[in-house]
Amino acid sequence: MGSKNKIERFKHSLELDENLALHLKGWKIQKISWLFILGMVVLTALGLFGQGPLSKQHVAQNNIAFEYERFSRYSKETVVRLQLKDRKGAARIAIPFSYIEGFRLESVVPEADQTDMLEEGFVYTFTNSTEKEKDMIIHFYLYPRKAGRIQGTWTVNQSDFKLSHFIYP
Amino acid sequence: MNPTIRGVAIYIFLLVLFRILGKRSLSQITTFDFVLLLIVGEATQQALLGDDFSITNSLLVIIVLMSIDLLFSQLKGTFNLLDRFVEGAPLIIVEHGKALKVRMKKSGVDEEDVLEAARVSHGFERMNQIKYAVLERDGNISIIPFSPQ
Repeated sequence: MGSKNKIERFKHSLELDENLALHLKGWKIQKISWLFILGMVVLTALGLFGQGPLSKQHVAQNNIAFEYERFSRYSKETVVRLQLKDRKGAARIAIPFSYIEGFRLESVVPEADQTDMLEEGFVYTFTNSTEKEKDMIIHFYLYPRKAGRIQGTWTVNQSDFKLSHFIYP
Repeated sequence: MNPTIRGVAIYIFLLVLFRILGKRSLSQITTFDFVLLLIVGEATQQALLGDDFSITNSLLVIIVLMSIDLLFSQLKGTFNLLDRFVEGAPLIIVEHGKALKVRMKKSGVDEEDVLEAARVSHGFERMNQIKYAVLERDGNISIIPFSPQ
């Protein structure tokens, strides 16, 4: 089996520099590169570059849960999903300026009843005057402004949640 | 992102990728290769221009790509090793009518490719009419016949 895969070597009359050593090295590099490319395809499918199990992040405490994509790509929309369960009274969500510097906030669905720019950052207030809506889901649609790591601590009704993203260029 | 960085990154990425794919993907345009090149072209355009469709950006990207091409051409002429790395080297794949199977397998070439090249260039019918077949740097196969004696 060893001799079957051994490269043929012989003398020839052509004025030609084959550089067999280069070919052998090249084929080895080629094989490794193909494995690397295959690995990248698998990791991409799994969400290493966004949209997959490797990227999905879930953070929860005190009946408040965040779901967001840990990995995303530049100028690709990303969504932060916030779920509030059994809420009493208004929901107050503060997004720090450091986070907003990294993202352009395209829209908030549903729209907040009140939006303020305070020292702590952008504050979105969702009142619950009827006391009927105990459970609420809010979607924040964001576009990355830059590549690299973007992180910030959101405050939802006095509970802190650290959100961290890596944006590929 | 700066047009220079975009242009350089994409150019080098494609250069390395096509080297890894192997020579035949460049010279032999089958339907599969045609579709691949078409799609790669479209994806590359998006990556090069991003969301900036101004004439200025387009011209800058074109200038960057041409500059890199020029630079590589100059460097290849000066540094033989770079030339070998980027362009590769020719490889004999048939010797005195005998197909060199290991070389052909590693290069992604089969006997049909060689016979096709022989028919097209010399009208040959059989492998034993070929003295040498060389897989050239650009992916083409050149056929050297036996001297008429």
